[in-house]
Amino acid sequence: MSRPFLYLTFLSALLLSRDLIGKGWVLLCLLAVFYNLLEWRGRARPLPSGPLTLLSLLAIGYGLLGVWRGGGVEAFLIPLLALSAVRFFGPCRVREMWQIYALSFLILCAVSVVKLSLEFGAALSAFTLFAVCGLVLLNWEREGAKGPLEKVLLYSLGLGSGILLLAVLFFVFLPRSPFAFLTIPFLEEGRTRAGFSEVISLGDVGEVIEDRRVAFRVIFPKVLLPGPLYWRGAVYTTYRKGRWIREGGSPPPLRPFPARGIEQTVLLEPYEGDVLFGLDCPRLMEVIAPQGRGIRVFPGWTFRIRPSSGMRVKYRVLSLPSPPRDPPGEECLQVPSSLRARLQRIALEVIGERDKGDALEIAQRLSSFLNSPPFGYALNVSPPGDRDPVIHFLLSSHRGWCEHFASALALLLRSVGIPARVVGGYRGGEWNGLGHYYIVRQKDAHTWVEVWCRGRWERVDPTPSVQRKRASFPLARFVDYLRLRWFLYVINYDFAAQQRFFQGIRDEALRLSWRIPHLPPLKVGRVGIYLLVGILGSLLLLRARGRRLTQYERLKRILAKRWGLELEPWQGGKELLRLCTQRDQEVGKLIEDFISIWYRTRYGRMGMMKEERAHLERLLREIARIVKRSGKGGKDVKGS
Amino acid sequence: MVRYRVKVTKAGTIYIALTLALGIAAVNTGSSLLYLILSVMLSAMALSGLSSLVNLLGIKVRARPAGEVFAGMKASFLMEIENRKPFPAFLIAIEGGEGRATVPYLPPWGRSQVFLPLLFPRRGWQRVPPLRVVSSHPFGLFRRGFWMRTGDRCLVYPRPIPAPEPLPSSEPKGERRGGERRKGPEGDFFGVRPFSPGDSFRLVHWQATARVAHFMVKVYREEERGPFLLHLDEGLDLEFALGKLTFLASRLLQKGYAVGVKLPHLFIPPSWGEGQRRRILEALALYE
Repeated sequence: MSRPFLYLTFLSALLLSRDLIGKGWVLLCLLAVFYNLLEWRGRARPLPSGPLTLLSLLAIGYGLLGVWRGGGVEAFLIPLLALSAVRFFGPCRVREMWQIYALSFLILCAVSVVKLSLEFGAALSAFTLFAVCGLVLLNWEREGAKGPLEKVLLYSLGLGSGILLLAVLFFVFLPRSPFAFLTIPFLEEGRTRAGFSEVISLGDVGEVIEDRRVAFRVIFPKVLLPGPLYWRGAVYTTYRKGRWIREGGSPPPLRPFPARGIEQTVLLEPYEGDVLFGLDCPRLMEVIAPQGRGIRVFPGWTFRIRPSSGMRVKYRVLSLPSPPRDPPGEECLQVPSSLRARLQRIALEVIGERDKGDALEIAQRLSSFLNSPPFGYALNVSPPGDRDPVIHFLLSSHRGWCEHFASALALLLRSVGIPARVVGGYRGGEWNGLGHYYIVRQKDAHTWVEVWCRGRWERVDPTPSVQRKRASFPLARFVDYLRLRWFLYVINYDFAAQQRFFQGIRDEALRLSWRIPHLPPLKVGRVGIYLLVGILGSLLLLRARGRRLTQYERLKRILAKRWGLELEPWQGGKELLRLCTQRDQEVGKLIEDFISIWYRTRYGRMGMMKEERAHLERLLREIARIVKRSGKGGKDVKGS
Repeated sequence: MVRYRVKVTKAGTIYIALTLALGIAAVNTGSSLLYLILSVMLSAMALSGLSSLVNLLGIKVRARPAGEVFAGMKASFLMEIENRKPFPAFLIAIEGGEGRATVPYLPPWGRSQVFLPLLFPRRGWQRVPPLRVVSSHPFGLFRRGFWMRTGDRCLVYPRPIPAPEPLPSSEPKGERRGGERRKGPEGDFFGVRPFSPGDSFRLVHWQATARVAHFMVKVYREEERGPFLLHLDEGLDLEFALGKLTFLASRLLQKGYAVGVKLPHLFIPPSWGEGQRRRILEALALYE
């Protein structure tokens, strides 16, 4: 009976590692499990051990070769899976089953190095439950025991659940080290995101618009902010041949920060860049996890983490709603000389004369121009050929995505002498009320323009709004909420987080009173806690002692205690009646009455009525009284 | 005070080694998921130990001989195992000197019975030797157990030592002879008695056996023959002589003869039946 749980345990490990190994290996493992199933049902024979040993050696050799060639985690996974498959093809005795459990466990450990998602938590829970049930049943089989399997299974499920609950406590309280002596270089391999890029290249068509993978999550303490939200990332200043890059400028001065601001906690998913994002406009950032990472501020309030390692980063951001005021440099007026004349001509056609209105008005007029026909939002743009992509966009195609619109606006503004810069980041996001946070996805990647006007940088977004929101289901929101908590409480639970947690417990314990949210204040003192624990303990004790004996068993107990009458297992009520009548006629009559009712209800078709139960209680009391009075005098009555 | 002893099995040793290795890996890498797996392993180890302890709590054992007990011969004992706690108990094994018996499941406040062979080297009133109650529940990583003295006593008869019978042997009635089976015993049905070594299984009284849970054999008395009075041969070693008397008394009574015993300080007049046999064996067991 333990075999199905062995399969489930192995399959949960295989499922977790499916995208780290080739499909061929997955199929091989599934085939091995299926073959073992046939062998278990008696429809196949286990393969001989000679070839299997050879296959095992080959698998180990393959793994060693992979490690020697500097392979990733798959260099460990494939030999482990191959060894498991070999075990499934061979004779599956208790020893082999133990080996498969151990191999599945090692597979799980190997996957834990690269797979940090919530899926791992779910798979680990399933693995634990299956393995506990399987191992308990395996031990049961090894002992050659036969009995109520459903009870063993129920017990195993309870034990597995208990193990998971206790594991939470172990996880929280296991002492963490502030230093990691080894680093794992292949964290989240192949899972980095690509919505935001360090360099804007107008020639490349990104497929990010449909990418629903999460870029980052932003936790707000309380409020849901109104309006479309802009998550500022990098600032681009220099345009060359269809590409925006960052160049020149000096970092903004770090001044004492005003206390009032919008505080956020951001969980950035792994990606290949080092730019950090925050609600426009971020002014202060601090890394919470992983430890030992610093933040550098670049011109235009661009924050970068160092060293970047493709890991998930949790950091705190303080943003100000007011625009930045760092003065523009020369680079904010840079326009390629080959484009300047044509751009200036277009800009002047739109705005009329140079001095009509201030810079913000001109920017809005140009933005309206880009928002009106024939311009439109499109992802499929005809290739510019030898022409500059911006000129191609303005004069020929009139179609493009946010990068085209922002580039065009910035260059048009610069051509008429207004400092402008392109800002890359994200716009929008889904609000998840369960966890008070925004989910910002890859499809929300966006580019806009900042215009220097009245001594500050004003944001102008020239891209026509596109209806691309898709409401997520409540279940999806819940799953994402779990995912966030998983990252917050499990993945990012390091030495510092543990210290903070312990500090919190200490503070709470010293208060000696708790307030239940959404209820009037309720102070529970020490005495109250003791009383509560005492009442709960008493209830549990009473419950444990309550279900014990039937009335017949109580009768036997009374007679055993007072008269020393012990019945053998094969002696029934009639025998009890005979022995008691021999000793005391009065008690014999009462017991005859008792037995007749007991037998009729116990073995008859009718259940016991309330009156009958009460009558039996009365008889029991009476028998106990007489037996107590007569005491234990005389010779003990032996059952045999 | 019960003292529980834990023995780590081979699988348990590997499990502990894996846990240690994982702990070192978790500390060195700082990986939260390795800490998580380590937590699950530690939790499984802790709960395994706790549940195996709870499993053995409240386990009481009573030992009763399932039949007659002879010195130096394995005797089957009925072990009555009781679970005095509100939780079930699994895989409770009782280990005696000569064997092992396992009860797979004991419900809360429930009891069960198993047979366990025990060996007593000496005759007379003997205490049941200490029994070891062990369990490898739940995973078989550890074997936890404790020694239990039941306090039960049993009367051990002298070891029967074959001796030549004082008259030509004759088969008891009802036995198979030459491949033919007799229709039935010609003598009177005298009663039933517990099975003793040397008895034929054809004499088993199945109804009585089913009722008392150990073998009972039929006793017939064809006709009153004898009587035989058995004496203690003082020239032999005492235990040897008692063994011979045990054998002869059992064999002759089984064949329906009236048998008595004359010992230096005790005389049991010849008589028949199971009661006589028991009287003689008790006297021989307690002879000093």
